[in-house]
Amino acid sequence: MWVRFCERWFGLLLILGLACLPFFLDKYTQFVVNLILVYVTVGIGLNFLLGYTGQFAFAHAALMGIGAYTVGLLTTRLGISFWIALPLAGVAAAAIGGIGALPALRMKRAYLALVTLAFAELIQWVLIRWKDVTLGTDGVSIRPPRFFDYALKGDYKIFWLILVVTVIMYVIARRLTESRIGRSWVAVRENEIVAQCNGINVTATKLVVFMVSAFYAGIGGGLFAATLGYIVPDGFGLLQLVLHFSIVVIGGMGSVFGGVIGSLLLTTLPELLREYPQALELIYGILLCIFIIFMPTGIAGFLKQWRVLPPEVMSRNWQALRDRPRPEKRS
Amino acid sequence: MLTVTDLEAGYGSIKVLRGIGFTVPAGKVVALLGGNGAGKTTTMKTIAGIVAATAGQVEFDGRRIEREPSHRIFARGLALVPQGRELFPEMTVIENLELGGLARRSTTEIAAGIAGVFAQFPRLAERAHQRAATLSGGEQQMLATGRALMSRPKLLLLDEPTTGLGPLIVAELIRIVRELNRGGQTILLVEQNVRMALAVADYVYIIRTGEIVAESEAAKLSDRDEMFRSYLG
Repeated sequence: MWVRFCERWFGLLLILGLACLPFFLDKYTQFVVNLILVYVTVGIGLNFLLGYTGQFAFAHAALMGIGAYTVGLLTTRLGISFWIALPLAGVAAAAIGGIGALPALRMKRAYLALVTLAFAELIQWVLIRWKDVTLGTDGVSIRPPRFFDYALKGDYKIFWLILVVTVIMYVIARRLTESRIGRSWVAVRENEIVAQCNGINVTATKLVVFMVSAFYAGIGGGLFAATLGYIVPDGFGLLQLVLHFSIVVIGGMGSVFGGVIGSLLLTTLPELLREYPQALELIYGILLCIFIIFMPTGIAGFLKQWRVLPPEVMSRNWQALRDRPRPEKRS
Repeated sequence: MLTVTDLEAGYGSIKVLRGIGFTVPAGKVVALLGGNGAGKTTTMKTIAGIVAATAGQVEFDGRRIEREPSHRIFARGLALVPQGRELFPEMTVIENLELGGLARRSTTEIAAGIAGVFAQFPRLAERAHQRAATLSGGEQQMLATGRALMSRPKLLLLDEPTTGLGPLIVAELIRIVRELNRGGQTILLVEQNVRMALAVADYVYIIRTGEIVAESEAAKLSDRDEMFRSYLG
């Protein structure tokens, strides 16, 4: 109960604090903060797949592109409201991710990686070549979303929108990972045969996680489009994917906090290294290696070990159990 | 409770089960005895729906289940403890049990289930927050069994629980299985360990190269029985 209480009130304070940020930050810092929040959603989504269910799939950046393009094309070319386009971005990514997952459901490791990578390339190819719809490499400019008669124009105003959506996505993620669904993801990751023996429909579980993960990528992509105001197919390629993987691995696999920590760190890092762009990929690579070898559970895992962060996954049951008296020992 | 008739199954072109048939009455412990490669584990996996049956019938609780997927069979109340006590090694004892309780809906139900398992296996309660990989072989078997019991199965399938365990722990397992059965649990046990099987089973079938070659009430057999031993090979 105590942990939950702390988390709730600390979370609320944090949100209030964050909401005041635009009054203190300069325009550029505000833009970086917006990006961090966007990557929280994206990172949490990939973590469902990679960290919780252990599926090495490489289509996350492309699915984020689907979300970004759904928002971009629906709002600018069809004049649909951003508030309808954003959920649709999630749904479109989930649908396409689900279709892409169908052949991938029975595959593992390297095969899964290859199939999803090819699928991602296919999506990017469509974004570039289907010029009549996507405008190809010219890219799409996104009009700022409107809140009633008020245009959310500029980094300061769009921030509140992103903050609200991110908080919603975060809360859903926490609920999901503590639910039956989240537990079945973990069971599939740990051992598919045992999961089967425990009554889990492994194929359905994987399909669900692929779709939920894609939904998060889509929403993240939609927010990304709104933040940048301009998107090109190239933005959702390999570098984007490496960034997503770094967020999850360095932040902490199998942890919702991990997505937050990872995006905070890895969005700030390139901004700090603006003057040495060639060093960036090198640093990503070295960091990934270091974390995979020495800290496989990432920063979040490390902090949980030192009890800075509360335990996750199934913690709810854990609490319930602790409230009950333990059965007496028999001699 | 469980009736298996002319069951056939295999892997690819290799046929492992060649028409196996036996019954497990409610409230009883039935053992399938056989040597390596006799088809014991395949029988268990086929009943649980993990390996597909190519012919024959499996009737559980009045329903044909041989065409159903494993998760539906599980939901009907049939839980398999796989060979080699496969656990989630990096997770704690409690977390392993929670994952066995996926079929249960509410948190309080899961907590009650865990408390029940802990009452059955006090050793697990002592190790509640230890990682499963750090448990001894006997404790791991208890945990695997406890995890299966979390779903409150009507029929519990135990696939070679004694593999790699010392005699003292086997004696402990015998006690546990008897105790579960006294509580009304129906159990189908697969074993190579004749002593274990005869100590707990009401009825014994002997399986060899995918066929039932002999059957008897356990009370009428002894592990020194010549004919009996020759079948086991």
